[in-house]
Amino acid sequence: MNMEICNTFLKSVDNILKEMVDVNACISTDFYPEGNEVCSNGVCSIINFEGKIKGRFMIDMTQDAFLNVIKSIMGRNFECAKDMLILSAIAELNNTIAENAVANLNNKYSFELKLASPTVLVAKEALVCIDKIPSYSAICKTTYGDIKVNVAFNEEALTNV
Amino acid sequence: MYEMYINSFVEAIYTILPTFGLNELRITSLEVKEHMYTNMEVTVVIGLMGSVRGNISYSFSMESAKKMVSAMNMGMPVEEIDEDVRSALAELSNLITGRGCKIISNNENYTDFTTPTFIIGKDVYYLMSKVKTLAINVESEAGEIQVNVGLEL
Repeated sequence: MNMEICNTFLKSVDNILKEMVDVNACISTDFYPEGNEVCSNGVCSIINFEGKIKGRFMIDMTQDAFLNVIKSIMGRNFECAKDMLILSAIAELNNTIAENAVANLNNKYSFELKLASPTVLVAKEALVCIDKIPSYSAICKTTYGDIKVNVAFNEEALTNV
Repeated sequence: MYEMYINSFVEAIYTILPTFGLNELRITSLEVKEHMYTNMEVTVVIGLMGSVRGNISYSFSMESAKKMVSAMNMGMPVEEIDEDVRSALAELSNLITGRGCKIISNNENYTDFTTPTFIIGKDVYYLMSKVKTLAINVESEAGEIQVNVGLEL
């Protein structure tokens, strides 16, 4: 079931990127374990969820890839990633992806998941961790650059579901 | 309404920190920001759900993070930010947020919170709320804690 949960998020990324950003994501790696520490490549959006399982969904990319994605959404160039407007856009993208995935998981497994608001961060080097909750990452290749999809959840709760 | 939520978390800080022997607490600044920026290296982010959706974050410098955990461990020295230190800071953040949510829920507004996420890095620029973020700086014997509350009200 672990991979089903991860793949639900990945499928949502693929669908929403096509719909909102008009880009096809080529999934270049299957999900691989990344432990509970993930190093951000520059811009990442994190959204936590709670219900019968708890965890986090994260999309991460370099600042260049981020600005390319934003150009596609907003229709113009932006010079700097530290702009409230474009960070709001990526937060909304993350929120839409997570809502879609969580709806599918709730329908299929009755996880009763709810989402918190997304947090977006921009940093040259940042480590993102949820202790005691391992995560899995997959890389999506797009024409704008690579997007890392990371899903963390407490696997032991699955035995009680 | 916004004031009620903010006051709940301020009350929670003043309730929880003294249980670890930190009694000399002082709010040194309280301001509304368009965005969150911190030059502190350790940040814990907790999501809020229920009657209000948003995020609350607690930022510490490396030194104040170690001193805070040392205070939580009866003065035992802390040399580095390892998994045990992160667990302690997560627990502190959970206690403050949980207390704040309980105060809010007493006013018939149910609020729940998520697992803490740690972010460690320098010069990190955040977006935590589509609306505004309220930044509260709290000075204590263990150093400064920056609390940022971003709520979608």
